[in-house]
Amino acid sequence: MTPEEIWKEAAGGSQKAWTEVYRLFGGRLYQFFLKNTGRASQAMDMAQEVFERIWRHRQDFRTGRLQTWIFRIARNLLIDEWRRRGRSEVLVEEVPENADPQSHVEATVIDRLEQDEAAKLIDATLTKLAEDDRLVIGLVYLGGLSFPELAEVMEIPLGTAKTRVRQARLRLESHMRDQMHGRSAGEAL
Amino acid sequence: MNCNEFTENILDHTLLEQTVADPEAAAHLESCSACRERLEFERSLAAGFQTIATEEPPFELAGRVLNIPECVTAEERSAAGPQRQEGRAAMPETLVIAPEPAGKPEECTAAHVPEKRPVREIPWWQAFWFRAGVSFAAAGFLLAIGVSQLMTAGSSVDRERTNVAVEKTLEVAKSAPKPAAVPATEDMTMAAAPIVPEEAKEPVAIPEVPLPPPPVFEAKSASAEGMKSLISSEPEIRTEMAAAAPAQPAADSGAERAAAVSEPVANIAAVPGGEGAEPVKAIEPARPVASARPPKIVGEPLVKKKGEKYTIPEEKMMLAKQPPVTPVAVQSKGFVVGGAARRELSAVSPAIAPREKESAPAGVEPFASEQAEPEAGDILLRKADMEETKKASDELAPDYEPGFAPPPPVKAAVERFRQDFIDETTTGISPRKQARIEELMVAHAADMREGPLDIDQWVLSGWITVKERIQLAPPEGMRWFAVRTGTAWKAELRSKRRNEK
Repeated sequence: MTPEEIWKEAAGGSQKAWTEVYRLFGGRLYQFFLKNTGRASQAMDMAQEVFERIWRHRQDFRTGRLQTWIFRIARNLLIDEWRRRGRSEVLVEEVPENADPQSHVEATVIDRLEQDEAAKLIDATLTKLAEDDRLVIGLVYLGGLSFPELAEVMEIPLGTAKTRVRQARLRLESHMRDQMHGRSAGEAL
Repeated sequence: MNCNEFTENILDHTLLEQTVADPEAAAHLESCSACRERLEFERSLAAGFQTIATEEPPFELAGRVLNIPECVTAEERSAAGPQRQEGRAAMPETLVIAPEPAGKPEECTAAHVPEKRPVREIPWWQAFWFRAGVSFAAAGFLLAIGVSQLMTAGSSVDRERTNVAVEKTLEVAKSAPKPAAVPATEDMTMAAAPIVPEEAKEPVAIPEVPLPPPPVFEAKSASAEGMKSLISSEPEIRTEMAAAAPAQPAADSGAERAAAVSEPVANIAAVPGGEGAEPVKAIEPARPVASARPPKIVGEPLVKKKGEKYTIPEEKMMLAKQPPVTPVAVQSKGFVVGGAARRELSAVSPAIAPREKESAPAGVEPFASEQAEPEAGDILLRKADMEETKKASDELAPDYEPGFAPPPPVKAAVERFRQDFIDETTTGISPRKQARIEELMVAHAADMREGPLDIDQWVLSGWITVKERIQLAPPEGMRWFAVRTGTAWKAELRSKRRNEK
């Protein structure tokens, strides 16, 4: 069953389907908010808020992809939270518009980028990104949105969405590289 | 496919495996090691994010989210309940018993309600009410200080001014002798002087000057309490008739009467009603009369008692001299007498004219209706009495030292002007003026010619000044005319022609 079909059952009152919806999106929403707010309790509250909203407005979803609708609600909720608490600006270093094709990912990074290690590295690196970059990376990699879906959620053109993902990725890789060099230096010591 | 296209395609991780399955991309991967490394990095990154995304959320969140449908539905039912009741209430014959609210399941109250977000608590000293209170208190304190400073400064300035005024008053009182002709009582002097503090008061030595005889009307001195009331801007001075008519000094000489007339009593409102009269407030302080103009009212008023006729004191009749009635129309108060009536009046020559209008002789014409008629108590004096009064006032005048310069002797100046420039007996032009013109004509004989003189040109030529031009101006309708007699020049006044300006 697709998520949309599961949602139809859940909206019809199926507790089993509702539980399946939570299994599909609960962890992703929680991690999305956790990586963007940095606070577990707030991430839990906001994830609950998203589920509550989709249930209250269950009649509003008719077509499209379910995850696009859910993460649009999540993105709006996050932006509201940023506005309420005052957005903290993070200095973003300038990155080139296009990636240098000659620049190779270092072998050490690839070798050591095991799945668990990669998760820890991503956790450490995401905190250094700006909020906009974190939002884009979170929607794409944690939310599982494709570029067209990202453009729909962000309400921006597809090209703009691609550009923003590309720039966010370049900054993420830069921070990951810095993180890897720091770790290597620490281990050498 | 080149490296850029491959990298662009694998950037969307949802299309990563799809891109790799593409034969064109697979061919590029076999030939490009960099793209292979890039593909491995993307896979690792996606796997890392997938690991994060699939981490189990807290168990508490699962409890909250799974109860949402039940709890929210219960809330929606309870919220929709009153609406259904209202719909039923529209039916009048139906008795509506409100059903029990659906209520939330117990697990909703604890698990469903989100935890309250931390609210940043503001310390009480940073609260708005505390800041506002402190600001208002500071402003009030500063305002009170400012007002007190202003009041202190103002009172000190007033005190200094009062002291200066007191000192000046004392100096003036010490240096200047009291005017002899002003019979002001001590109380009246105090009323006119500025308020002097008790400690600043000093006995002022007043030179003893023989006072003139008492006035006809005696101003009763105000008592000390009365003076206090006067100082407190509520003056009240009662004037009374000094005595009844028979109690007057019988043999007042003319000078004494005149002195009495020149007293400043006339400035005090007199009420001839005796003791039963209504008290009158003091209108203005007494001041010396500088001019020798005789006052309007002299002597005692005629008081007509009930059942009595007007009686003229005998001494008054003796004082009245027999006319010389002047040829000028006799002007008495309220009447202008002239013509035959004047002759008749001169024959009668009453010393004191009765005030009643109907008693005026025939031919006497009243003034304009707006002129006031003589009132009760007024005495109409003959011209002889007025002259006596004027003479006495002139004798008394040098004793005064008025506080202002006397008016210029207008009459003397007019007389001198008349003598200098106007000779009304002959040509109407002063010979002095004519001589001056002839003098000028001789002085400028070279420029002179017979005919009308243009003395305006003389001003332009600088022979005479503008002032002199005004003095030498011919009368209206006349002009100066130069006439030559031998070598001499003569100025004549001739009438202008009709069209001549």
